[in-house]
Amino acid sequence: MSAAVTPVEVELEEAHDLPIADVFVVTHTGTMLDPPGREGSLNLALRSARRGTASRSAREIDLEIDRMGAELSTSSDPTSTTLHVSVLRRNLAPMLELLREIVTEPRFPPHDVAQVQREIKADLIDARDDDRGLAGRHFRRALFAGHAFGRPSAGTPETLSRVRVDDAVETWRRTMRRGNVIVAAAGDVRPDELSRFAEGVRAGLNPGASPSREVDEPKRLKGRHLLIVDKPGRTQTQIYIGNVASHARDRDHAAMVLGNTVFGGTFSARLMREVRSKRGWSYVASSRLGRDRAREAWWMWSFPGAADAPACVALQLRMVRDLVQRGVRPRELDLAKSFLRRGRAFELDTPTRRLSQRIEERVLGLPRGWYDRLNERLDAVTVDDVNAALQRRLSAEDLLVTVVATASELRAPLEKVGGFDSVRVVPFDAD
Amino acid sequence: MDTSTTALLRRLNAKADRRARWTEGPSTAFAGGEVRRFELGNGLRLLTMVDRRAPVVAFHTWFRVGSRHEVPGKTGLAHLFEHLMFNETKRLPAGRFDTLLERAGAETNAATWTDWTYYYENVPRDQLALVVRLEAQRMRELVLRAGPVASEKEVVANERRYRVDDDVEGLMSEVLWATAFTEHPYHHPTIGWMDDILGFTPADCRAFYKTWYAPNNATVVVVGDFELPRLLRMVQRGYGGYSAAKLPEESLPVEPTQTAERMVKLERPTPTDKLALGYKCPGLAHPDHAALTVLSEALTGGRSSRFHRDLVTERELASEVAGFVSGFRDPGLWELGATARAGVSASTLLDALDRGLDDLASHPVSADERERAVSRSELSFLRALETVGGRAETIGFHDTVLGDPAGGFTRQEAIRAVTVEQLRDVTRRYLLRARRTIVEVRSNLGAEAAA
Repeated sequence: MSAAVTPVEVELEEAHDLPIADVFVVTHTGTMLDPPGREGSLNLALRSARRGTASRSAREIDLEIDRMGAELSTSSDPTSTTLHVSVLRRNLAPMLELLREIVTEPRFPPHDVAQVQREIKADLIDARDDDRGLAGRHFRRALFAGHAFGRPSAGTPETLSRVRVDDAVETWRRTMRRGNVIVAAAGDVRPDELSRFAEGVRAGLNPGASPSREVDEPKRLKGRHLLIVDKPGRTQTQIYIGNVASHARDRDHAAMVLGNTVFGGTFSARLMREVRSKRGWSYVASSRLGRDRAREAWWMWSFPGAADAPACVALQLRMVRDLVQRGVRPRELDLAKSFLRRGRAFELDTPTRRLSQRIEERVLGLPRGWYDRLNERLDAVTVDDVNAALQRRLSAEDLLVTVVATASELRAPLEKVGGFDSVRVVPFDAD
Repeated sequence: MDTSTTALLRRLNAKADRRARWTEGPSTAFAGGEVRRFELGNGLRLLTMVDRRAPVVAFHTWFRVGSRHEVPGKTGLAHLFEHLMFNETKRLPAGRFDTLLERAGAETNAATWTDWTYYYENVPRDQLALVVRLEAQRMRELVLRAGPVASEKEVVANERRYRVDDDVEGLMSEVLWATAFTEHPYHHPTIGWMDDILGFTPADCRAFYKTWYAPNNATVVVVGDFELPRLLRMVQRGYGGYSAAKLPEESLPVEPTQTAERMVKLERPTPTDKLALGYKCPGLAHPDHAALTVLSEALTGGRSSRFHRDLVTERELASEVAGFVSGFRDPGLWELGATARAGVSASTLLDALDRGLDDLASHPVSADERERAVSRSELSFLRALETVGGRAETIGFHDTVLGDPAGGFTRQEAIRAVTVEQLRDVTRRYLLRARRTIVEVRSNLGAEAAA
């Protein structure tokens, strides 16, 4: 197919029961395209795109969006970016025209881009207030060090200060290519309206070659490592523990989904039972499997009080060892299957939820209908399958333990948990 | 009432005990459907809305008890009790409630606030009978033992550290309300003071349960893909054997009129200075509430709003400005919060906010600002109606606080009808310095941390 006729991909989940619509413009590549050392370039461009188009100033755009009762948000991660609009049905047509302009004709006025740059820097500094966010960011950066997944999508105050307007504009231009874009809508939108919008976006985008979507496979961490994110005055800790483990294309992915559900995926799962119900240590104790185009993390999250944190880390490490060595029991597996099978109804109950699965299939490069067939794959999994997958993908000896805490109080007790190959303390504001 | 329902109720009531007899009240139009009202002889209210957009059902139980019903020394009991409701019942051992619902594929949780506590389950439609059975059992058959009460107190203490003690914005909100209200129970936080949380006994919990968890203090809201006759039969069977309780007369202290500005200054390990302002404002049912909601949105909602444009975009003094009018039964606060940029002090930010607020006298909210605020409010209201759970919550909340299940729509009409003259009027009458409280947080991390 020649570049001139390259279509953009289109998805629609139509529903007319409420007079609102959600429209998405999603790309197949994300902040992995940021120039090294200038992380935050693409995110800066995304947030600056609304600060002036061929026919409108930033002020006019802000006024129009609010007047239409609309919300425009942007998000970025290493493998995709999203512009998302929610709008009242009666204002859909002008909002689609404005969104088309933002996507295809942004002007990136240097004064406005510099202003957005300062806004993002302020947000990054404010984000240091959020202890859970700190734990998650430091966990990922350490776990995926040197890999695209470990790069900060919004940048850090330091990398952001190195980003020039040209970096942001160039990264945007490389990203916003016809063959790299999905246009999608859910709610009170007719097919002809979406088609016209998609055609307008297609016509305005660069037909040149799309950037590569390839992502290197991250390496699994070897050994057990403790990372303390030091913050003063903490009465409570935030703990992330995990390793690189999960890939949606693995043959044992469904088995891992079930193993994770048994371990930390529900209120009655092992983690909640042991950490919260029996000991009252943490309001939440859960585990998750990430999903992306390359191998993602499996991790646990809990937030015990400072006094309980060392014992809680020790317990969670023992629980991982037990999970890997002894596996799951048939009754646990049966409950997890039933929970996921029946709970699927709540992944399909609104047009936006249905659409998000279709978009995710495209962005992750999964076969169409991958989510629809997930229940069949889950049903086919046996206890032996789960236990083999857990042994293959997890090890209690290879884990990164990240704790946000006041290091002067907790470093020694945490080290005594034992078995760490390395211990590192970083200040909470060392982005 | 349609004839088929009349006949059904007659059949269901024929052999029923007085406590289990159904009556039907007037129905109300809601989101393209209708909310039907029923009540059992024991006082349990049932609000139903058939919605077949997806094969799921939301089952909400709203209790008209919250932290407003607590007394000094026993704060946080309504919230602790909400946690305990997921424990053992006379017919189910501890943990079984959760595993049964998980097996059913349910989404389940609960929330407590000043005026109410509610529990919800969203389930596939074929699991509704299970939910009715479990919810009916735990309304009157909960078992409260010392072990689980002690363990859950620790969980709540942990939740308090998470939401308040180690969260600067949570702490500011708590201090703001505690300072603004001196007599009314809105003074104390719903999660409770830490000493009170750790001091509760199983006897406290049993007394609370016996007093407040009764059919005549609850409304069940069911929205989704279900058959009404079957639901009425199941609810009658599940709850019809319970007797109404004698509920305490509510007698709350009246908050004295605030006559002077109050200010609290704190230092915390936070990277930037922060401000929280609270102006005394009326309760949700008051005719001025809608105008104050529009005023708040016009000043802080969206990038084009007056304060966002001035403080965040143009003068770059703040990274965020937000406003919110409390939706409580009794008078509450219009909260205005702002986070300073690095290098900007809380006092500089307060001066800037004050200039903006003072400017409203000479430059009141315009028709265009009003229109933007109303449109944004409409989108936010419609978003809440996307899921059956969102619809049940909207119905249950407005029924509990306003006594009107369709109150959300009535409020939207009131918001649409707000005029610029009303906005000028509420600005003049409510944005009074003598009736405001300020919490100022200064960073004690030093300049290098904020760079």
